[in-house]
Order: sequence, then structure tokens, then C-alpha cells
Amino acid sequence: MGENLSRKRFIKTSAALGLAAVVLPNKILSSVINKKNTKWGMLIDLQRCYGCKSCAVACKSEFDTRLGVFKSNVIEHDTGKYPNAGRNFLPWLCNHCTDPPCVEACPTDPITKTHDGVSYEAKATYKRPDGPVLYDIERCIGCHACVEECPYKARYIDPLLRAGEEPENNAIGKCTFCMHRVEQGIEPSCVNTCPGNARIFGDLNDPDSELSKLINKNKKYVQTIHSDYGTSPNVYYLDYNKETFDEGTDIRNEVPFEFGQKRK
Amino acid sequence: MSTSITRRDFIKISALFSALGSAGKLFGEASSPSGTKAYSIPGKKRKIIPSSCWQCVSRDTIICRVEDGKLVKIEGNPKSIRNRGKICAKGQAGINQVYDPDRILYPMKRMGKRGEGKWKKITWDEALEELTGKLKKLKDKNSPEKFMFHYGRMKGSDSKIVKNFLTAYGTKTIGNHTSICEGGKWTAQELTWGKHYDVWDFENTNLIVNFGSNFLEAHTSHIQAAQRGTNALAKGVKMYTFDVRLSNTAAKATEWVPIKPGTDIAVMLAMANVIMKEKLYDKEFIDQWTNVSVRELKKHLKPFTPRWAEKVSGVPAKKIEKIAIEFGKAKPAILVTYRGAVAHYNGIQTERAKFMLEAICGYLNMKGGTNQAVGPKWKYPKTKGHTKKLKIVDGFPGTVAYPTHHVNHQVLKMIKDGSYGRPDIYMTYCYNPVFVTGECAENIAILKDESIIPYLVAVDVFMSETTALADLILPDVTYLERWTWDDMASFAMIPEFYLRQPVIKSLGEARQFQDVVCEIANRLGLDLGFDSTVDFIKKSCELSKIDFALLKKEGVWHDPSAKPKYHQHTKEIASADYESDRILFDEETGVYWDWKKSKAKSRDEAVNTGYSNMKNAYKGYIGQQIGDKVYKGFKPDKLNKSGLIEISSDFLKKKNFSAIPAWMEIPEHRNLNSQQLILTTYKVNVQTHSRTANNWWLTELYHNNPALLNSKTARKFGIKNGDSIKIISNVGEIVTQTKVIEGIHPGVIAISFHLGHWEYGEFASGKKASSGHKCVTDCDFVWWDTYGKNPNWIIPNKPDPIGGQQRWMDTVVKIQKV
Repeated sequence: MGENLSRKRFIKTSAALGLAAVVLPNKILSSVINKKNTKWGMLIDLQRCYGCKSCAVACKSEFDTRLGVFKSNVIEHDTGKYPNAGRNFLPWLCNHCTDPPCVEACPTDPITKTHDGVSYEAKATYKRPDGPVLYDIERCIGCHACVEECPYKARYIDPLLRAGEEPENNAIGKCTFCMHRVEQGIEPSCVNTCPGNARIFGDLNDPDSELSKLINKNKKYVQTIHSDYGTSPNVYYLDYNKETFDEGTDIRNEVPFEFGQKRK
Repeated sequence: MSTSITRRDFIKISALFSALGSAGKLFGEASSPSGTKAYSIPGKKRKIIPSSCWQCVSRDTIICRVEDGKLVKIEGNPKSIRNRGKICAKGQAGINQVYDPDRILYPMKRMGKRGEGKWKKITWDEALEELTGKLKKLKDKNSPEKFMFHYGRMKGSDSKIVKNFLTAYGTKTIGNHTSICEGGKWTAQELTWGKHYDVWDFENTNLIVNFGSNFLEAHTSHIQAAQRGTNALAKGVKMYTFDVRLSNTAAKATEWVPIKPGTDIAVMLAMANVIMKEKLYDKEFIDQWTNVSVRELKKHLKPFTPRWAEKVSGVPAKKIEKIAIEFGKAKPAILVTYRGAVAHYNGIQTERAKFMLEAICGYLNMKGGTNQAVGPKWKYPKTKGHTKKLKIVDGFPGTVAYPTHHVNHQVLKMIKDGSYGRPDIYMTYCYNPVFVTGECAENIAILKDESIIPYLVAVDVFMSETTALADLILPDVTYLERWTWDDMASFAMIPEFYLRQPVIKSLGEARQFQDVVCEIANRLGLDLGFDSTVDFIKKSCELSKIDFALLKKEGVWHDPSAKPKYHQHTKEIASADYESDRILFDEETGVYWDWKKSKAKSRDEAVNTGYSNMKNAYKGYIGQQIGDKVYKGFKPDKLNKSGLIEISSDFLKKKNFSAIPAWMEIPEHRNLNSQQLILTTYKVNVQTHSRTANNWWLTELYHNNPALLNSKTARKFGIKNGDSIKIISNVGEIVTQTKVIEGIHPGVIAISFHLGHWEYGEFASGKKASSGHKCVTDCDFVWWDTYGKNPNWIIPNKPDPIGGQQRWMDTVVKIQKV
């Protein structure tokens, strides 16, 4: 759904599809309808995450992402010595940074776009005014600078898709915060499936959103990954184990798979 | 497909095979965010069809999104009171099952030798002509019992339809798979409180003590339990997890308490000892609802002190004391057990000790406690018939005292032995005994031997290691193409009726086996009383007063006015319900029972034999007399138990086991030397036991299962992380890699199930199934080349002596660096 779809039609269409009856969560609906000064963000409650990876597979299925690459996954990290051994889980996805180094790195020429009446400059990869860091595969030249520059290793080189502007190069891919779902009033696929209800998605600019309330209520315990990178992520973690995942760790080494690899 | 594919081509391919993001043009494709465009198809509408999952036995409810007849997305059904709109990674990967390139899509007949992989595609008519010819011959010879039906996954209406057919045909030689699952847990419950399945009321409890259950990764009600367990933990409820290995459930616990394998019962007995000593018990509950007294319990438990338990289990006495006191004071707490505690020589008594401990504290059938499961009570058409059976499903005579859930892992051994008869037709249904029971090599040898098993028919969706040995393969449909009414237990404590319905048209010539048995019955001239799966389901809905159309639309239904069923045992039975000619009062047990539901031929026979000794008397159980009232009590199942919690069991006493749960040492663990380790198996969160290794989204996440060793143990044997080792048991040896970790007991070596397939398909084993169709897109991007190792090659098929549970966790092994 986009700018040219009126609110009324949106509700009608959703109902016709059975979405309203089945999966329309009220918590994000108001932001979708009001569309005023929205800033999408996520909080992941690590006390509630038990590492099941339902999010990782839900994401794979939502986008039919190729083998070898992930938009979202869970990092497992063993700690301690027997018998005091432990394990931490860190759901991992694009941080949709306020100051995204990937956008900075993209060498394509910006064009002017508008979103909900707000105009903004967009390169092939860009930060939309309502928060998500997105990319346009048609404008991508396949230089992969954004993949290199992401300090969270949240971007990948797609093993199959080709860059629109330079089809001899593979395109890039990443988490889109499921904007295609969100714009229809449906929460992101990883949030929808999370059995621990560990992922809360919503509007950071709406003080009444469940997300904002949770962040405000738990201010002391809410952190972002490697806040020292200066990227100002919009994915927050509650109960984040800084010792395990931050200090002295390059998060890139923790991402538990080989991306862009293929057999033969 | 090559990697030089253009994006335009990709869109075309997506239209056919991809899991798609969301509706395209309808919502204005032009403005949809970049990167998702490739997944949107202009002008396509999505249909949403509710159904239910069958990746594992949890059978959660789902909604499926279908576009142009293609299944593109599975999510949880938010209307369900059980899984509340949530599903796990395995459920999310269900699309891989349907579109598995290695699926069997046509009936096939073996051409070469058994297992050679040479097949001829035949028609359904040819297949059924051959099969019914053989079935008819057996029936005409009055030997229907020589048709053995052995199933792995069969529940709800799927099970009722097939069992109706088998009854009409006349065979009761029916094998199941429960003894390799958790059969021992159920037998223990039948010996103790009655009808099995315990539901833990996580969201209302104050403390969780978990012995060997990994409910955050795999469980018979995984998402129901994990979701509610997580809510408890997030509220600050403490959880202690006793386990030989740091499972994710142990990792999320307040404390992981490592324990020596097979000694959970020692800790439970010591906890009970502390609770009695500290007077934290519930005298009223013990007196009213159990068959023992406080005095008896104190006397029995006296020797099982925390100090004693420390010596046996390695768990410090102080820790046992602390947890016992917290447990006694929690009011209520729940005690969670599963295969880690139960799949041992002493598993039945361990599970009984769990119930003893909970009963002592009065934590049973209450809000925040362990409850008798509730599930929907479907009524359905029942086919009548006279049946005969071969005595090969309950283990060798004298080896198992109460095999109430059968001893399936002994079936092949008994067939080989031959003394108890052999089936002429052995049919497997969604069952892979070669791979999922112990001693794979022997299983293969038996199934390959045509002089032992003359005709092997496999009903399967995939080329499993057993199906690969068949003479005839009948292709079944996946759960996403099938009709079933289903009935899994509800952690909401309110029954939920739900339906599985086809979300797409079945692929190839695969047919739901329940429809196939209707056709076989027809060909044999048997009257089942229904003529198709849908007919059976509609008739069941009529009988159960469930609106079929509503169920199709919503997927689920529960009575909106129903309240959670706590305190089920305290329901008083009205005198009108037990004052009747058919109903007898048994002085010895205090049980009222309807003798007509037992095997008694006359009232006199029933009176003279008595409730305890009359075959199937438990089926007529009405209630338990306590004082001057009659209560529903704890309803028995499979055994003629009273309506009380039988902490002291006459059934066990009769067979020379301790009547009250007591320490029972595992014989093989008695004199372990320093070179020996105990092999344990486990499950991870992204695979089912044996049926998901060809789901590429799952196998990408988990495709190697190295043997886990504690760093201390590894040092002792001079083994480094990643080294190859040989693991030797007394039934065989395997070579595998090691992973050296901290989160495991030093006396243990652990290998997960799931992997080590040599058939099943491209992603599971690297071997394409010869029946398979063309792989699209993802086959070219497989980046792993390990397929894991199946530990079952070296695990002996050994039943526990009380219930016949396969002793998964008892195997003693030696290891050598290769």
C-alpha cells in the first residue's frame, strides 16, 4: 500500500482479504492510518527470547530469501565454565540506524522522493523519513560498498538477484522491517511468529505505542548493539548482555553463517 | 539454474515457486518499498486458509496464504487458544515439505533388489490391485492378523479412519511408535494418577523445577509450553533445570543444574525427603487423594537424604535442600519432566517420583500446578468387527511388566525371532523404523530379508530409509494437502476443536491414505460406514455437534463460555450416576464401576472377579468413594487403578518392583570405568526427530551434529575441538566429529537426533531421491556439505522393565581419537 491508497480503501481491502479478521494488530494500525511523523522501530526483549529461530525461518519464507543469506537470524553465544556454563541469544537484523553507514557508503546519485508528503533524498540505498533503511534493487549498481560498510553485517550480496543498473553484478539484500506488511497494517513476519513475544514493533514517535511505553518504562535496561559505533540504531534490546556481545567483540564475527557462499 | 539469471527471469520463477511477501498491485506495487518488489505479483489476490501444522506432534493451528494455488506463507492462527497465533521455526518451514523436490508423487513398485533404488512408476489401480489381492488372500485364509500395520505419525481422524479399516479387515497387529517417544512417561502416569498427559500451568505458577525436559526447543506441546513458560520467566518466576546438557531450556533457566544421567529420581526422592522433614507437605491432600499416609511416606523416604542423593547424582546436597524448600514453599510449583528423565531403565519410577513429589505438596490439578490434560472429545463413526493379532507388539514375554503403550522397538527383533508369528504383509505408515529406532544395521538386515518379511509396503510422502527398502510405495499427501479433525491437549485447560484442511491441491498423484483405505475397503467389500475422509469428518462433526462450515472458515472452535478445567478430580458424582444395576461398588478400592464396559460376560463374573482383576474394568470407572461422597477422582486408563493417586502401587508390588518410588540403579552404569562415557541424545529447535532434514530452510540452520564433549573430558582423552573420534558401544561403532563445550556433564557424550540420513533427499543426505521431481532455485545454493551422523547405529534397542520405554539415555560407550 502506498501514498495513493486512501485510508478508507485500505481498511476495506484488508477486510476483503481477511487480514482485518486474522492478523491486523491494533498496535501498529493507528500509526499506519495516521501516517504523521511515524518512526518505525523495534524492541527485542532478550529475557523473552529463547533462541528458537522461528523469526529466521519466518523471514526466509516471507521473502523467499536464498540459501546462504539471511535478513534476520539469531546469534548464540556460549559463556562461562562448567558447571556455570550459559548461553545468550541475540536476535539479529538490520538496525535501521538513524545515521546508517551503508547509506553514506552508497555511491549512487540521489534522487528526490516523497513519502507521506515528506520529500527526501534517496540513493540506491536510503533512509526513509519514517525510519526504515531500504534499497532499490533497480538502482543498485552491485558495488557492495554498503555490505562492506555495515558494522553489523546486516547486509548481504544476493546469490541470485542482479543489480538493476549493472546486471553483471549481484544485487544486495537486507531486512526491510517488512514495510510491505507494515503498510498494510500487518506486523513484520518475525514479530508475528515470535512465540516468546520477544519482538515489539511500533512507532517510536508515538508515546502511546506499546514500543515507546516499554522503552520508557525500562530505560535503564534498554540498549542498542554497539552504541559506540555512532550509528544510533532503531532496534533496541532489553536485557542486552553487553559483556557478551559488545565489549571486545566485533559483532561481524558473531554472525553465525557464511553469507554469499554457494556450492561448486 | 545458473547464477547468471536475470531479475526478469527471477520474477517469472517467483510467480511459480517463491514464498511471496504480500499482495502486489492491489496495494500499489509502484510504491511498495524497494527490495520487496521482486516478491510482489501484480494483480494477485491471496487466499487465507486456516489449517493445522503437522511438522511435529504439537499440531499447532496455522493460517496459510495461498496465491494462484501456491502456498506462499504459513503463520500461526491467532484465534487459537492453544498456540495463540504463534508457531516455531519448523512450522514456518512447512512450505518446504509440500514443495520438496524429493517427494514421492506416484505409486512405485520395486524393480531391483530391496534397497537398490530401482523403481517402476505404476498406477494407483495397479498398486491397489496388487495390495488388495494379497490382503484378500490372507483374509480368505482366516489369517488377517498376518497383515501388520505399523505407524509413526497418525493422530486425530487420520488414526480413527485407519483403525476402523483395520478393525473391519480383522487385524489388530498394529504397531505404533510411542515407546521410542515417551511411552514410559504415560505408563508411569497410568500407574500413578491415571489417564496420561500432564499439562503444566506455567502462567499461574510460582516456581518451575524441570528434570530433563527441553520444552523450549522440542516438546509434544512445544509452542504452547514454550510460550507460557517464557511468560512465566519474564514475570520473574524462577526455573531450575536439571539436565546432563545445557539445552536452551537449561540456558534460559535461573540455574542449570548438571546431573549424572539416570539419577533424576535420586534428587526427586531427596527433595521429597526434605519436604517431609521440613513439614512442607499438604497433609489434607495426601490423606484425601493419595493411597498413602504421611507416616508411610516419612518412613519410606527416610533413607533418601540429600547427602545420599549427592553421592548418586553429583548434585550438591545443599542445592537439593534449597530447591526442595523453595518447591515446598512455592504453593504452587510445577515439576516438569520429559525424556531426559524418563528414557532410562528407571524412567517409570522417576516419573512416579515426580507425581509423588507434587502430590505431597498438593500441587496436582490446580491453578499453577500440574493438571490432567483436557482436549476436545470428538465423537466419530466406529466400525465394528472381529480382530485377531500377532503377539509381537508388546516385547518378548516376561521382559516388560506393563507395556500399556507397546514396545515398538522390539517388533523387528520379534519378527526376526519368529517364535511369535510373522506378518506376511508388513505395512509402514509415516514410520521409519530403520532410522528412528536403535540398531540401524540390524533393522536394515531384517527389512531386506525377504524370507523374514515377504512383502513390505510403505505409505510415505518421502523416500525415508525404510521406504527405500519397500516392495511397494503408496504416496501419501503432506499435512498441507490433507483433511483431519484433530485433538491435541490444550494448555489453556479449555478444549479446542480444530481442523486440518488442504490449502492446495495435492501434488502429482499423491493421495491421502485415509481415502485410500476407503477404496481398499470398497475393493474388499468391507463396510466402514463412511466413504471418504471428508465424509468421516462431516459425520464426526454432526455427532460432536460441531459446525463443519465454521471450522473450515475459522480453523478452530472452543466453547466461549468454558472455564479452565482445574480441580477435575474434585467433581462430585450425583447418586443417580452410580446407583444403577450396571454399576458395582468395589469394596477393596472404593471404586464405582460399570461392569458392562469391562470384558465381564455377566454381572456375577464381574462381582466375583472384582474391579482390580476384571479385564478392562477401568473402562467402566465412574468414581471414587471418599468418606460419604463419590468423586470423579483421578480417572484410570489402561490399568484398573483406583480414583486415588496411587503413590503406592500394587501393580508394581506384584511384579517385584518397589511399590512406592525408590532408587533404582541402572545396571550398566554400576561399575563404569574411567574410559567409559554415557551417550545421551537430544533434540534441537530447528529440526524434528527425523522428518525435516530435507526442509532446506531448517537444514541450512542445522546440518551437522558433532558429538558434544566437556572440555575436561576432551583433555582427558587428548581430543581437540573438531577432532574425529570413533564411538563404540556394544552394538556398533560410528565415526563422527567432536565439539568441545562447557555446557555438558563430564561423564556424558551427547549427539542429537535429526541428522545422518542416507536417503530422504538432496538436502538431507546429498542424495536425490530417485522418485523426485525437478529442484527449483535453492538446490544450486546449498552451501553446506555435512549431513550429520545418526547416533541410533550404536544405541541398543532396550526396553525399560516396567513400561517398555526405549532406553535412549543409558548407552555406555568408549571413545577413541581417529
